[in-house]
Amino acid sequence: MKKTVKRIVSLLLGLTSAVCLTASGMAADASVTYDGNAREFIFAPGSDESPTDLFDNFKGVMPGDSLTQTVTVKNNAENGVKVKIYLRSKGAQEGSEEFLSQMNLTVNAQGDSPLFSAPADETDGLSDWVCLGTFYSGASTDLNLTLDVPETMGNDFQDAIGRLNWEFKVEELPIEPTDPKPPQTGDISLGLFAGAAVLSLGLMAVLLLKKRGQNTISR
Amino acid sequence: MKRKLLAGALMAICLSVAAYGTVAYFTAEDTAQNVITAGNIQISLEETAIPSDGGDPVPFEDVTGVMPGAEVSKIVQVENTGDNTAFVRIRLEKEILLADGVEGEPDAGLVTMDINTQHWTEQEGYYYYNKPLAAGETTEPLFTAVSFSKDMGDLYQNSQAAITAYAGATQADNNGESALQAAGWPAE
Repeated sequence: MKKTVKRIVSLLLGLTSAVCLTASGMAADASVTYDGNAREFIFAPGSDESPTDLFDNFKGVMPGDSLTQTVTVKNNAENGVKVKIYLRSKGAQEGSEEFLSQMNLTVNAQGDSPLFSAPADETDGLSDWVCLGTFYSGASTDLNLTLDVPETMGNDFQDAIGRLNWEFKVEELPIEPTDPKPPQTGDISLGLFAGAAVLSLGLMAVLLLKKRGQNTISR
Repeated sequence: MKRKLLAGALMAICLSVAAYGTVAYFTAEDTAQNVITAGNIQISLEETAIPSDGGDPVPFEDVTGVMPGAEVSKIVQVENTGDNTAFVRIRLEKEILLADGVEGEPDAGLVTMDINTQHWTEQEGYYYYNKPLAAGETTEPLFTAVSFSKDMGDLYQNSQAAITAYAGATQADNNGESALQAAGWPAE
């Protein structure tokens, strides 16, 4: 009996680890994470050109390309704090305007009309701060970007580099009693981990109760 | 005792209110510098030859003293030296320059190449490589040898035969199914 229990527990723990690892592997490829302890943003993945680069999929673009990039914005502040995260575009860095003006960039937040849809050198709807939402601990949202490069972009732009600066701002707010319970984050790895943990705890509780019952009978 | 408790409770409430009143929004700002880079199309025309005593190909050098009926090694290929996949084509020009003082109409058709029709397709004066050429790859040779006809008579003594290859490339992405359908070839 003990061996069977050990095997079941080992199997569950293994499954939990596997599920968590798989979920991590499915994570979005670019992210902006607010680190509540350090009170700073962490940008990933970065690139050779810029350590804060979020445009991992927009490298080596060619005329006629239509490329997409998902940027996940997350709040990693501890419980007891909710944050509002804002975004604005500071536009093309000096010297990048001509190249970036060749292509069109669209930025969509989940379920909303585009935050930005214009030549990539412009600031369009991101000229002023735009609130991306209120985030409880662990919450996240996705920005879906599409870059369309026209077929007419000529040889003058071979190997060109364009730099586009995006500024993020956070406001930390205390959680009020009237606040709703933290919503589902949509973060698949966190959800799966929580589900697996609850399942494991439930199983352990059942096994413990069963064992107690057996002891009572033996008396 | 009750008064003390009441006073303590009031003080705690006042402190709480004061603390609540002094809660400020913590804010932070940071900038992500996002980078978009453009790709490129670059090729290198390679002309090599097998030495007369055999061995690996070496860079092609002009050959002198060629007699009618001779075959000269000359291997023409294209390497994709850029970062992106490309379609490739080559145009060949043949020219025979007669020796000084010799008058006549040279026939460039007497100089021929063993064109590789398995990997290249001729259309309207260009030889198109049959498949996209990935970055770092080299095409199969367009030809490997130049033959001088036995019919080249005295008119061609001390003449010079020149075979010039012009290679061009265009992007393979978003540009048709094959080199024959591709657009955007560079002007020569």
